[in-house]
Amino acid sequence: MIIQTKNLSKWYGTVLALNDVSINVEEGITGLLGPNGAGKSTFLKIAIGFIKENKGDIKVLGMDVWDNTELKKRIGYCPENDAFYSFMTGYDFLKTMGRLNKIKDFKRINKVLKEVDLWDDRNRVISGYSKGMRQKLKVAQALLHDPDLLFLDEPLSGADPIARIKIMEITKKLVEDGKNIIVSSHILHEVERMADKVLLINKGRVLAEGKIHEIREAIDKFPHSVKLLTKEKRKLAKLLIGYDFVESIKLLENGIILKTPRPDIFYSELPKILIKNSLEITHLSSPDDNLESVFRYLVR
Amino acid sequence: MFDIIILTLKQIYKSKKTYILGIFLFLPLILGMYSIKHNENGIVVFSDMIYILYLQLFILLITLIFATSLIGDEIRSGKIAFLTTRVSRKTIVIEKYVGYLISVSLVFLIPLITTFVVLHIYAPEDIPVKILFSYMLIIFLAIAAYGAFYLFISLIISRPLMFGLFFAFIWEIIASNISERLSKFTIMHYLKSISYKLIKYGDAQHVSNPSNFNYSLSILCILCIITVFLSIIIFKQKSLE
Repeated sequence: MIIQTKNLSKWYGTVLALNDVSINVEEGITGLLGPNGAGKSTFLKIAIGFIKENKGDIKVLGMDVWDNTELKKRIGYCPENDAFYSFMTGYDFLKTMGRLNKIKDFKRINKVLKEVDLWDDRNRVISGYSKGMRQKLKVAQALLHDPDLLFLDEPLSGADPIARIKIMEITKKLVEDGKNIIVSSHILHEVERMADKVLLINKGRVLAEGKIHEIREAIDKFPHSVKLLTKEKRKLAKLLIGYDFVESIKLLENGIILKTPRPDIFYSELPKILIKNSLEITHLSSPDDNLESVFRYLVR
Repeated sequence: MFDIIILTLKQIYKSKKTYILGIFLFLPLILGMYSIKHNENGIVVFSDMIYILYLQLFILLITLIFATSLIGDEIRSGKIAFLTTRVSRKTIVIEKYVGYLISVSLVFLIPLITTFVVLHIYAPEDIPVKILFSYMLIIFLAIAAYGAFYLFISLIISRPLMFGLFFAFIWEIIASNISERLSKFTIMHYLKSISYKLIKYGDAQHVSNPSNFNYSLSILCILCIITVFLSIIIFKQKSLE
């Protein structure tokens, strides 16, 4: 077991963020799935010793989590929020983080930069990085010290399709190398492409856990909404409506919302379509109400 | 080792506010030259400018701005996660504080030395170099004491800047001037007492009932140790939501 919790609860004033969560997370990659505000980040932050639980126990890699320097050496954390020491270059940032991890061999930093496809941009100042590059940099800093267990909090959030593919490839490779990963997302099909096991969280409770394909079969009965923001919404809409995996498209002021009955195919085909037609999207997300319907289905 | 000190130095020296505040620290130089031009004694002018503007204004303000943001800003922005997942919380507090001490001392040191050198050349009489070294010590003690106190405050209250402004400009200035008994509970009193012993010119000699030099020095050192120690304890237990 990489994580064991018993009756774990956390509340902020009168808001219950985690409610009596008792789980055992096994080795490998596990997806933490739930809508915004479900308690995913709270769970991860407790697991890395960033915030304190109000009730219950948690052990990560068999150890206590609070300010445990032995555990810090074995875990990596990619935060959800987008705060950086933005005056630094990508290379300087990783060098600084590497030093804190007691990494003396800068070859490791070079290797990680190449792995996340940031080598060519390593000497650029972080404030000039795109959202996708910043996401990759966050993943890179978490990988630096080659941790046994990686916590990725919404690693694909706001990333462009190419950065998404890269981050998914990295996670896949890490699992092949025997690493353990906990990845959170509010988009099922992102989690599905990275993890084979999933924990469904909503309103601080674990609703379901198990193999992802079992949960997906239930969820696929619902059409999946995707919001895409682009400057060329008409061109994008015209292109996508021709595919049989797109059911309907609604034009917005600065993009589109589409419904797809085959999200798996949609997510794998979208980057190819965008690249082939030189289209740029600035934002991709799955509206939460879509996932809410899944939860309604699961708990009814 | 010392990596958070280096990070803190970089953060402070890459910040625009450091340079904006740094410019104000040249005000004693301009005012000093003006006063000397109008036939005032160079030694008294240099001493009073530093005593009044640095010790009773700029140090209170600059230490407040830097020390409260030292860890507080990192918590608010979420960047603290990059540190807490790598090093112990005790190391973060100690190295952040040391980084602050070095960087803020340098922020003051450059204009202080420049002011001394220019006024030394500009004034008809020689300004003893002992005054410069005495002020270096006093300013360092002030940066250390106020910094440690504000760091502690930033970890226990949610609006440290508001509290700090009240503390600096109401408590420290007013309390140290209205009542001798109350002044013993201010950091300013002990800084003024040390100034009284070391600086034999101008306003530094106008301190009512100064405390003994060694006693004042001990009080300030103890204050630094206790507040940094308490900051470590609080930060070690702090849930960073």
